[in-house]
Amino acid sequence: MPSPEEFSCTCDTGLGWVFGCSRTGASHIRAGRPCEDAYALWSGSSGAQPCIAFAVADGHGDPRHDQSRTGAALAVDAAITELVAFHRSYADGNIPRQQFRAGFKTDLPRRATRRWRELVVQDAGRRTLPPAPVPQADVQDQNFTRYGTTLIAALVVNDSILLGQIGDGDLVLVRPDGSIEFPLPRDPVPAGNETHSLSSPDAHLLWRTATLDRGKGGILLAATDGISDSFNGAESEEFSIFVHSLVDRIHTYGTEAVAAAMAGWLDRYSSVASGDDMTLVWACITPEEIRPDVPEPVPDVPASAWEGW
Amino acid sequence: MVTVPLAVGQSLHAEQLGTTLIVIKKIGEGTQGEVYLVKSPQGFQTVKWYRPEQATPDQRTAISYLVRSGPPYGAAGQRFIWPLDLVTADGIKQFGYLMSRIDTQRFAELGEVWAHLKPVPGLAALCEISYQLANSYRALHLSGHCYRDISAGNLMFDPKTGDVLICDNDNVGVNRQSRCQVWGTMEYMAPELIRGESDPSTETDLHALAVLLFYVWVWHHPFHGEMEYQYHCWDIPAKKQVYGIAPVFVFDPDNPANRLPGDPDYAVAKKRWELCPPELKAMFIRAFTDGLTNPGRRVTEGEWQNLFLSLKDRLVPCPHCRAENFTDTACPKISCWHCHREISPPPFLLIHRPGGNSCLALSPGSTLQSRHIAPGAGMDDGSQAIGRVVPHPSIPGAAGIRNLSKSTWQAVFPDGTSTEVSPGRAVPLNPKTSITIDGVSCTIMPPIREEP
Amino acid sequence: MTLYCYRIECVISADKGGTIIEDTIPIPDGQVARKQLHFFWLADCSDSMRGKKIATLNQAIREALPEIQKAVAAYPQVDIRMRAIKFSDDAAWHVGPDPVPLDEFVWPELETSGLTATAKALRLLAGELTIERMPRRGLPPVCILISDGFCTDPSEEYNNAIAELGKIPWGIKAVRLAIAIGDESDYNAPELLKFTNQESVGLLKAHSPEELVAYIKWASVSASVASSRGRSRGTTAAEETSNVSLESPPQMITSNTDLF
Repeated sequence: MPSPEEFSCTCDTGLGWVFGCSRTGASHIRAGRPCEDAYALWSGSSGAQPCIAFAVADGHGDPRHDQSRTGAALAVDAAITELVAFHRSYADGNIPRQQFRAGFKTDLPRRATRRWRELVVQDAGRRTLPPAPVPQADVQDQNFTRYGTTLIAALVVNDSILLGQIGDGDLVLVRPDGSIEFPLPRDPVPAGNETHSLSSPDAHLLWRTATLDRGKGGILLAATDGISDSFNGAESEEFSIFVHSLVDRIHTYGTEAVAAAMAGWLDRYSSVASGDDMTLVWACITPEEIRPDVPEPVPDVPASAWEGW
Repeated sequence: MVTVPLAVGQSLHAEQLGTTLIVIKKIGEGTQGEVYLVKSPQGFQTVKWYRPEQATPDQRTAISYLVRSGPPYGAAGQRFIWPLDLVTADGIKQFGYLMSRIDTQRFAELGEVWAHLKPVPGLAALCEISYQLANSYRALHLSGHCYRDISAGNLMFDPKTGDVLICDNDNVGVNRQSRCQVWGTMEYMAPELIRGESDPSTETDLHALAVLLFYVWVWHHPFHGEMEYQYHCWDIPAKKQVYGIAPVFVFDPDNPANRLPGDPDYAVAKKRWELCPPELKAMFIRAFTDGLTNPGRRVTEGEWQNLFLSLKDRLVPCPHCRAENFTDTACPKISCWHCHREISPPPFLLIHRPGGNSCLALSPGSTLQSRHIAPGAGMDDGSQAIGRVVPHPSIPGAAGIRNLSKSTWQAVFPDGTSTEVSPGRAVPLNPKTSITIDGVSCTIMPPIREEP
Repeated sequence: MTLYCYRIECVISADKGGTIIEDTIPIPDGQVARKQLHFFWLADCSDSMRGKKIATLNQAIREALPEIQKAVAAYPQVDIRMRAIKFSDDAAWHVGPDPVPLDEFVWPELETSGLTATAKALRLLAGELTIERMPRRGLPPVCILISDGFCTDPSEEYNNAIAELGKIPWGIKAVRLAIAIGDESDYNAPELLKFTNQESVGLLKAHSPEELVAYIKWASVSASVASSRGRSRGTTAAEETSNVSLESPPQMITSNTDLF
């Protein structure tokens, strides 16, 4: 009798399903190091407006960032908290779509970064950390550095897909017609295995954000860099082949079967190719419903309606 | 409602021009529609194609009006990416408008600069960006239009030269009572507008311009201090409080209630505020203290324009590290903000104008522009070079101003002798020499020394 | 939320006493690629290396190759690509410019002639470490410089070449080691030391053939291993140099009396 496979996922039947899988890298296992990736999935609704939120983080992992495993876990926690709070703050109002999207780009990077810092300060205060392996002059800065991580955050609502990212990792959207989009520009750090970090003092400025129409939906993939590294980078043809093929497997065998097989696949890629921690979150977003021709609400409430707040 | 995208190769019609446009590809998502690259007889252009719910008869009328009236006059108006024509497609109710294509390799958004995707503009470029913004919005206002949505999202600039492009002008209107303005991005909205005490007006627009300029210089919102920091939940009531009900400038000299917290993420804002010269700080302080409660005290576009022009004229490169620094005729000694070494004051050109004199700091490469001599004249933006500081060919360390204009200058030296400076010749920087350029008198002034 | 799912179909086959469960969902397509580690030998083949020194160098590198292979077998994701620059009157590729996979790499006999154009070798190296020529995300490159003498290029040229390496991102991140051969009065130790960026190691001084072999082996193996362990990190401050740490080199005691 074959044994059941466990996997985690979340869904809102109006929006879609999202799954995640995170595996310790082959080189980490060999060195006895834990996995420094983290991810979190959330779905729910506020004011009958559903949303799906997810986040993926990759702790930096080298001696300067000795607490980065915790840093990554706190980062996905902070991202989900702020994504959900953002959704809630807009869900009940008759806010036009462009204000909603502009608000995301302006506020989410700042709030998510700040929430992460709060969590880091709390965590460092609660535990007695071992002395820093690479001491820095500024103790406060040093604490943040030790927890350094990248972060990808995504929010799917009725008509929009909102994305934000700091550092490396990949966000790919495959629309039903098969076209692959990279909605965000690449992490602009030039060489090697460096990346922008949530621990930088100007982290709130370093985020890249994008807001898209949900439209016909599609499959949104968020991955830490171990995955694209296994294919010679996200710009490579092999990575495109992998993405198309993964979407094909989902269509052919169904998301649950793919979710069950994913852990084995990620392990295999890590052991033969990148050696890194491997984390993949994939969201199967259903097409936006075609509602009857209702024009966008014209706010003909007088200005004094603000008093209601 | 699901948007039906345009297909590659689809034909569109430009109504006024009567030409056919072919869709090449989608290049972005604007606020109310998608933006497509199209091929036209004029070459590559772009089309903003409205979502069905935005493609209303009112919007169509508004676009037709903008197409007919054209952008504001002069170089200032050319900075607006203006609707060139109404665009339609056979059998489809939706429509859009034609615009020129923006070179996105050259022009940057503020967010791209912050994320290190594009270079950071230097101080001269910042002065130029700020001047062009104020200059263009002033022209828009003078042409009878009103702004809709001044925000960093509509601003693009060349980080090297400071040239500015203003996008998303499809909502520029004459009707200032347009309801939708109530929903403008709250962080740019004037307090009285948020509180519902008044309708959109020139004064509310000036507030938005001041906020945008603050973002450009300090990379931070003027009201994001201790108050915003304390909010655990940043929702609409919170924003209304911080931006509308009780706004306090983070650098308000008298009210410490909203100072910047000590967290490391405020370090950039603090550092960039210190880069601002005292006159600029004073204007921001006025805009965000007096100006909050008294709209009549807000800084006008004309004041911003003049400030940034005069600031740009005061920049000299540090002789040690080449970083741009603001000099000050009142304060002789300054230390470089970058390498902290002392910069000795430069000589300057005093330009005598009826409305008030202006000073141009002179250093190798400093350029005298047509606007210095004849401000506001003509269709161009006054940036044409008519003189430049060049090294002296035989006296080491000395310099002169070369005549790059078409007219001949008159120079009178301190000893009383005079000479004609024809185009191409250069006058040595002899202190107290007076040069007359197109009827305007300029005097070469020696560096200011401290009183012994 | 956790869902339990049973595999759609599953084939169990017995094979020599073991049980193989075959997954019926084939793994996605896409050719995987291992992480590339670029390895550069910079070998002095000037006239003064003639005879015993060059013979030892040739032998030592040949012996080091299988040792490197064994050491990085523990990192199967690492794909070492090796090249060599030789320098005498000028600098030229001994094996290169295209990198060769380690298991195909053969060290051709290096012969001696002429002067010691170390600066030119460094500039040739720097040209290969540019962002355009290196893979976008790769392991820190390993550069081993072996020389027995003074650089005959003008010292300004040498210092400029060193400065250039210290400015480009891959130059900074590379594991750079230098091995000096022979009598200490024959080479300029401070000059060679400028090439290295591993403070804990310093300049490796080989006084005898045995020491040269040992150092070449140690340098190539430990640098490859250290680079293979490479980890992702947040952007570094400008002052930082290398981001790999090496174990300390072996104590160089020998009873051998052959001089160089």
